[in-house]
Amino acid sequence: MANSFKTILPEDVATTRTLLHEAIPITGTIVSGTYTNAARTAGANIKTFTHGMYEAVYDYPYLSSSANHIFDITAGYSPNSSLSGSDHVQNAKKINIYNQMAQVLVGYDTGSNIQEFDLDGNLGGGAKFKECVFVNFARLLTKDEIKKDSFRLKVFTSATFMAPPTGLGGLKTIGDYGAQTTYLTNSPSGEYGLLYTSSAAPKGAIIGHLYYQAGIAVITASMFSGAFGDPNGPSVTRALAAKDAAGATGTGAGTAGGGGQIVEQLTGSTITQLANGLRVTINDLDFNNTTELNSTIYFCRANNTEFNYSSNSTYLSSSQIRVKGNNPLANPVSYITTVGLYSPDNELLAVAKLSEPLKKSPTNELTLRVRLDY
Amino acid sequence: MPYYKFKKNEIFHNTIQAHPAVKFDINDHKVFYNNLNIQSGAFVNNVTQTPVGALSLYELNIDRPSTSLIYPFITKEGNFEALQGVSKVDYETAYQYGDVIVGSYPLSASLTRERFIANHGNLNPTGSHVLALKNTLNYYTPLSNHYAFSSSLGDKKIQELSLLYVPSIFYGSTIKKGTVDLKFYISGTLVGRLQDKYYNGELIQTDGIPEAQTNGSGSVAGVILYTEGIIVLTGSWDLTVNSYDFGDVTRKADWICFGAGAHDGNTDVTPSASFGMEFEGTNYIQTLTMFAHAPKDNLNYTTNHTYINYDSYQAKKPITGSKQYSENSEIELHNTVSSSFYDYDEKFKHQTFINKIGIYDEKKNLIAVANLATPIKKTGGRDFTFKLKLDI
Repeated sequence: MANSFKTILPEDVATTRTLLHEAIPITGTIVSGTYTNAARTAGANIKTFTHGMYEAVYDYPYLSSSANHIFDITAGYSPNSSLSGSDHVQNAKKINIYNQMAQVLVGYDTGSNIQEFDLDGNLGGGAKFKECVFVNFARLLTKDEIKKDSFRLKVFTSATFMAPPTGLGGLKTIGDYGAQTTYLTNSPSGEYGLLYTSSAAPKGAIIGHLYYQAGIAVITASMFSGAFGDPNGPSVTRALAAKDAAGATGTGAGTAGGGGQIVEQLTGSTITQLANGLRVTINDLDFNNTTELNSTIYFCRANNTEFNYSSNSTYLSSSQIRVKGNNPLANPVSYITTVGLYSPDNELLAVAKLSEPLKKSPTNELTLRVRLDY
Repeated sequence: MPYYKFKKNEIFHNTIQAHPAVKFDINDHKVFYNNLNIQSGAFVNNVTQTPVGALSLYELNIDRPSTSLIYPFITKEGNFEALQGVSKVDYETAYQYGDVIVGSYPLSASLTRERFIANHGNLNPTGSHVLALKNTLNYYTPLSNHYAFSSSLGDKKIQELSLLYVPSIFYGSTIKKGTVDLKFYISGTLVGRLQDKYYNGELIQTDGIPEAQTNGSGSVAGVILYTEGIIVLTGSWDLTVNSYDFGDVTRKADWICFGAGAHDGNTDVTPSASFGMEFEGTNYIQTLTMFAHAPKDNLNYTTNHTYINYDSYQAKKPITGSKQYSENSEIELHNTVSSSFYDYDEKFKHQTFINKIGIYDEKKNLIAVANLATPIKKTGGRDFTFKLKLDI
């Protein structure tokens, strides 16, 4: 119990925010190859679900308690997409996935309609991303948010046939280049940046969005040309892949992105097969996360005439101050070991301990910096 | 969808006290935790990349090659924030403002032992670790006189002793009293056993071979600081007839030698000596329990579209205009009451199936959803109370 209270004034309090980051590298071999079968589709670190709405990727076989969830992959298209059709595989689910993502990340217009992902983020008009793949990163890795201008995804965009690792080509490094200053804020889910195919000016094509606080990457399906898909999927999927191997352009050419296998896959494959198709094209993925450390700093000032006495029962010996060495003329001395922070009602709220006692006498003044993190 | 406000006696804050069992085995200068051995992976031989017997703080970098490890970093600014391992001097001199200070994962912790010879004094880094415990040990003397730093039972400042440090990540808030069990083996034979059988921190020899029991049965060989996770071993009586190599000393086994090789720098401990340590930790888990009542004659309607009779809805669509939107009040509901008889429709009754409960804040933001394993049939004559529990 303190014997002396001192009111902390507004000028004695400061608040700070520190950003702690972690570098998160995810090699393509973790995503597809290390724990998977020869065709890199099913794997001990890939969790699929009977509902077939998405698949989860772990950094280690997920049955192990050591495994960490990295991200989920799913895909979908807008109900306004030309690929939408009732006879297409998992048509409703793909639309639901797109709508779910869009309503959370883009929001509604004034007519209560779900807005589509806009290419340049200007929702007033312009081109839309109507067919997308979604990568939802685990909160374990993104923490408070993804650090802006740190996201780099190396991905093969133009495979000649689906038999990885051979056949993959068109390696591009997509990233949120320059997002530190150019990020957008017109999303109900926080800030987001545009994903470009190149860092050089001009930055290349915009192929997606990265939502920093939500930890979600939205990538347009039109980025992929050539063969795409689950290399070990059902016969219909393999047949679709074989089309490109033979040089065919596919029946859906021109709809999603000027032709290619991706159109066939979006309509003829399940979401899980699409997710498998995306996984095998990932070569490398790096980003930095951010953890906000908010602190309040209390500057506890002990002036020369303050805190020179203690109410500790051991402070006195035979009614004399023990540390004065029986010299009545000596200055009073105390040793500060603890700082208590009290409420206005004198309720002890927090205690700060010093690593070693500090000598306090009328000849010195101390300012103890007490930091409270939360 | 109706809303109900939780009343005062429908929300409870409780604390669950959990006691995880912890077991350390020490043999041949290796520590094993809960019988776990190294787990090999595709990229590294040890997937957790922590020594055997250690726990990884964040459990990141599982089975990752050295070239793709997750690591933390922070930019030096004016707030004196740095990462663990950066000394004050380095922070001031080695880094300029704007420099990136890089750390590394994993951060691990394990059981550690430290032995102090007689008259170890107060010099760093040895004797000071014992002196630092003076106030703490004296604080617990009401439990037992054996805690006293200096008494007729011994002076810990000068007597030979050993300390075993158990990081709190292994036990949580405190080690549970009465669960501590130390076993000293030579060639697989239990030569001595210590237990805190009186729940007061005294580690009392309760079992052992005749030599050990003759010398110290029922004697106090040390004390344990339950909250701090430190075991102080002072028992110096012989447990064996023969001498053994305990790394830094070769002699007859005694309790001070217990745990030799547990990250204490000793690598040449006789392989025939092994040690077992068991205890239970204490974790406090705060829980929020909510009782959601479904009263009689309530919750018998749903806004689910399938609850409306389709034909009736088609025939009586809402009236819409530039100045009104009016739903027809005579739309029939779908009768979900099933009959036990063939080709017979039961009379209509209000009946719903509750499959989830939403928890809203005071602004009616949905903040949690409780899903039921199976839908519960709710009729007018039935009332239910759902118990929702949330760990916080």
